Amino acid sequence: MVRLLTHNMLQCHVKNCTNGFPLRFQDPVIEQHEQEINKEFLVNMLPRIDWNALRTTVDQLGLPELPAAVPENPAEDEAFLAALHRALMEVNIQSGSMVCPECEHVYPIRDGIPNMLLSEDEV
Amino acid sequence: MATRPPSSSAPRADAGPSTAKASGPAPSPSPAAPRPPVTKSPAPPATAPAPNGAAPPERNRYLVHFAQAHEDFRLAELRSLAKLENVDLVMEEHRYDRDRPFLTVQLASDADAIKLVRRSILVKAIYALWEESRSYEALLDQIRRKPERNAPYMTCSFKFVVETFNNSRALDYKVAIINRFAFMAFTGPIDLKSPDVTLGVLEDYDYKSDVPRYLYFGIQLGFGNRPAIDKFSLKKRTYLGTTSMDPQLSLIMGNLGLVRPGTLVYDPFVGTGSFLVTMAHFGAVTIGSDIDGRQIRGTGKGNARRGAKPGSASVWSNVEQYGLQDRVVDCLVYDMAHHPLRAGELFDAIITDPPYGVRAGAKKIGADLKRAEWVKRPDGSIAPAAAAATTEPHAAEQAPRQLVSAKHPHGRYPQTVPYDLDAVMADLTDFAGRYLRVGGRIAYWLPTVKAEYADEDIPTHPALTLVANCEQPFGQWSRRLVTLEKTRTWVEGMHSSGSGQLSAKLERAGPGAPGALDSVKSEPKPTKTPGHKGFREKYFAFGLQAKDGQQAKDGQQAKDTQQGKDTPQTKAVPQLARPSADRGATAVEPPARSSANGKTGHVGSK
Repeated sequence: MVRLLTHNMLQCHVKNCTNGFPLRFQDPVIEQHEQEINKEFLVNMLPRIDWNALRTTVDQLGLPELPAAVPENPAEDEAFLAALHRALMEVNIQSGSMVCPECEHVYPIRDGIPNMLLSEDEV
Repeated sequence: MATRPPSSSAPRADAGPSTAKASGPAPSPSPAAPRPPVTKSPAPPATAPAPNGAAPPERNRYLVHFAQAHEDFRLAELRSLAKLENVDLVMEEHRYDRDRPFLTVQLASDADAIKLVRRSILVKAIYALWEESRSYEALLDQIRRKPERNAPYMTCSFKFVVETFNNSRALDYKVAIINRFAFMAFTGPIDLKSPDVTLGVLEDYDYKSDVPRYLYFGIQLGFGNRPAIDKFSLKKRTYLGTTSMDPQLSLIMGNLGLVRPGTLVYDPFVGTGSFLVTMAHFGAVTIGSDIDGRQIRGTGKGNARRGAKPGSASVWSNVEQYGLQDRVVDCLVYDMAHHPLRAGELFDAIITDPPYGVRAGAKKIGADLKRAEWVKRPDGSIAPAAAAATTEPHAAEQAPRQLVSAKHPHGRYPQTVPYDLDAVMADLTDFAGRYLRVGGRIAYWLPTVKAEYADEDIPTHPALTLVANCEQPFGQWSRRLVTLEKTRTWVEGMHSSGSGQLSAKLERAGPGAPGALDSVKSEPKPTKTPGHKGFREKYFAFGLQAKDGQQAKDGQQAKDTQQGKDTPQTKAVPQLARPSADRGATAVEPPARSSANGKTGHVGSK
């Protein structure tokens, strides 16, 4: 599926590539799958999400933009959680690729499964 | 007569027909809430004063009735559940015999007792313990002396159950036993389906004895979660691999790993995705990765079961089978030794079964330097031979051998080198030390040779504390479920205790070289070689030793397990001794066999 939750945790890991985050989507085929919101999980994950990277990616994909900053009391903010849920969990990138902004390494996505293997001399 | 803590003679504070049986989803505690420590004391009387002189906490005694299986896991699972459910548990371990399914514990309340066991895979039921004795005469007499205790149950509906261990008793025997309790003179109706109260008599027999050696009597309060085992039975699973984990053990891992709603769980050797579904069952959100994309995608009709369309069986078909699409987030293809995760304490739990190198060899990306297409540069790095031949000093950096090209639009598969088992374990421990949240846990399987194992074999890490080390024995080898908890934040400089030296020795001898094991053994060893070092070689060595006396047996067994296929390859593989007390568990680790599409020696991680 490549959800944005997963994408938010991925960086380029080619040897000596130090600034490969976040990865840029290229020719993404985007699907939106509605699913039940899991508020406890969202609140639990918030501190671990790189908010700027998520916001930039949402923007890059042409999706409804997220607020500039996480609100004071996210657990109480229904609208915020709904927007976060839609972006993090309901957006699926089924194919296309992710490209490193620094070294341009291409990570293809096929059937929703990203291939993050490296070449033998890149490790 | 053995001394035992005095039972409380006053009626229990929360006595009464129990209204809450263990059923329904567990309300989830906040993942960040701190939990009281689980205490274990040697022989505490129920009313002993606390060390600081304060009034002792009110405690009642309870009887846990276990399944007699996976004995080494039972107490560990219970301790983890106490932490998970926020229950203050005191186990009377001095009275516990692992060859018997009974454990007496002390808890604050009946409600705690029900909560404690409701997720347990190894607990059948928990009882409020009223009396125990070696004889019925004494037991019944003790009950007769406390009639006030019966008061809450005099008029409600009730039933009796008689549970026996080590002896199977016919119905008329049990009825006769129940009739001996008639003096309690309950006036309410008997209801065998859903009574207000169930009174339990538990008989503990010695093997082949006709007279119970010990008796327990009490109120049945709640049950464990053993029905989940059948729900995830491999026989019903849509997509299976040869290494799919036994559901009983998989679910136990979820309890040891404190997996619960609101948490994020990761399996770095996801294979066919067994753990993704069982961890999602506990309410967690799960992510998996594997170096072998074929296992994740599924390979078509050879792996399809239960009416699935050919070509449609994959990790996702299992997820759909159990309706867990909302919780299984993603599967990715990458090499764990070179993973793409950004630094951070990202995961609440890591639940995994790393490849042992027997049926599914562990491997990592690396150039096969024997091949002409690679050269080694003076600085030790490698380069494609064509690029290195140019005079441009940075030509190789500018033209790395990308995986994606016109010829390989989805990415060509890179070359791999063997990934030694103790390096896998050390690296996995290192990863857990960095990527777990404080309070999070890793549970992973470590295969080891019994004769060579010692506790020091388990890799350690400054940020991780060993919580449990449970053995599943298979004769000459065993595997251990190692559970570690992240107790400190990771800081720069923290690493797992390595086996880097031993790995290097094996690599010098050549990957997969038959003599590799011998050359390691002949060198002087300042530190102990882990029992799992060179596990693959040792595993096959067992079979070769036994082969002479076993050939006829092997041939027959290979036929039985092979679904009709009987290749020379399978005959050479040793048959594993069945674990002795593995009743009820789906078969584990059948001997390596050809995969359904006829290819043998398939090297892929699980």
